[in-house]
Amino acid sequence: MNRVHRADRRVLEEIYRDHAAFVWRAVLRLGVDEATAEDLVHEVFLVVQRRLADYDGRASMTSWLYGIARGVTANHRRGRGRAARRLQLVVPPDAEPAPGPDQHVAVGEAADMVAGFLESLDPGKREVFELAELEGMRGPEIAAALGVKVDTVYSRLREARLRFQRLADRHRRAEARRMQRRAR
Amino acid sequence: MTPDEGPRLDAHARGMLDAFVAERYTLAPKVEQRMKARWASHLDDGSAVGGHGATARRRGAWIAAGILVAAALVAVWTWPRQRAFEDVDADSGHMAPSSRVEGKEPAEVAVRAASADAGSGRSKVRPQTDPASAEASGVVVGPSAQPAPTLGATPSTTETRSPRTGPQRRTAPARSSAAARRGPGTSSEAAAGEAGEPAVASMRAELELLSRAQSALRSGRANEALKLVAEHARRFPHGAVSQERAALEVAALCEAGRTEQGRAVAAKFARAYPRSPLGARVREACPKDGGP
Repeated sequence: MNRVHRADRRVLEEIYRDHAAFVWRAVLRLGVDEATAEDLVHEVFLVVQRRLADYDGRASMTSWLYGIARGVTANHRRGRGRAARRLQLVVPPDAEPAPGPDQHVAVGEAADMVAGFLESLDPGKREVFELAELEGMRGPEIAAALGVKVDTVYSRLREARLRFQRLADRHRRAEARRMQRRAR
Repeated sequence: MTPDEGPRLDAHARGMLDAFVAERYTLAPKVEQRMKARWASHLDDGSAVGGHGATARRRGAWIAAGILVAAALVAVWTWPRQRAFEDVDADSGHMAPSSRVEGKEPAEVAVRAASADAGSGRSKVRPQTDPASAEASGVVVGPSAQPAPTLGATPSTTETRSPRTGPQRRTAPARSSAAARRGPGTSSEAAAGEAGEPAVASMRAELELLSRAQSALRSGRANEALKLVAEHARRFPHGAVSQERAALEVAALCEAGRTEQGRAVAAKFARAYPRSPLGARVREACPKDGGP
């Protein structure tokens, strides 16, 4: 297999176009930094290219890709110590996270709370919650992606959702109080 | 709506998740472009597994382009800072990130560190946090989150990178699968279509234009800088350094005395790139009036 066949190439381009951002988010959530994420996305699609013939359409494309992304990320962890090959662009050494003026606080704060919440979940629940709520995947897709039973997915999802909803309720009440104070 | 999944999250909870995704998981156009170019060049090499020679050459070209970007950034970074020192006044306390920082749990800090890189402009598309949907879902965005007035002479730059997601996104529940699945990665892909060398060449051209604008501004020729910024926006609406261009535009507008416009672009910038490392400089570039 030396040449990428024309048809394969088109398929590969399409998969990349439709799913590269998903894969990028997935590897980031799996805990790699952004510079590494770029490399891993590329590696994921190299695997996709190798295994394209194996994809039988039984799992959804996102499930399949997520499974590959997990594997690639795990391999990367094992093989870490490779020098960071990619140039770290952009962040000057003394860059602090941009502080928010008032009006941006709320959104940033909500995002921070979500991040804290996800950290507090055990990894299994976290992954299910993320795929369901951040990626919009359905139970069976998640089950296929993670290789667990659908029931397991649902029970993890129920619990994580319940906890998150409680957090959101607290946040909303805090927002309301803040609004009142501001109004006065 | 399977009963097994348990109760759905309400709109406020969804709004929080949307804010989170927009802030942490928005693929910056330049990153997207770089990744895409790499993939395309891999396919061009025509070998399923090998083909590293050409890839390595192209990667070299990308690194060169990267260095140029870094240089451009340093320049953008330093100019407003000098300016900021001149403009520091009592108001600067307003900039303090206190409200943002206080009450942060260690876990959150860890997450933030893990997903750091505040700078790569992770806000190409703010997929679900346009103010309308955020407000609709109960997350308060605040008064300045209104669409900023369109600028007269200078084409709006940040707008092209933060496409308002439109009223259909207001329907929060429908968003979850469709919008997220569609992902924040599709809009600029048409623009990022060409691969490999052409992309590098266009990046060089972009950077050169931007650095001319910077020199003009540094030499006090703000109007010329604005012209160059406008040209940049026209030629590279989805360019790799749109964020830097927007920052420069703010500085140039204020330098030219068009403070109102400068503030409007700065506000837009803050919405489009809430975590930008250029954020503080952009806010400080224009002298402030009263504040809220």
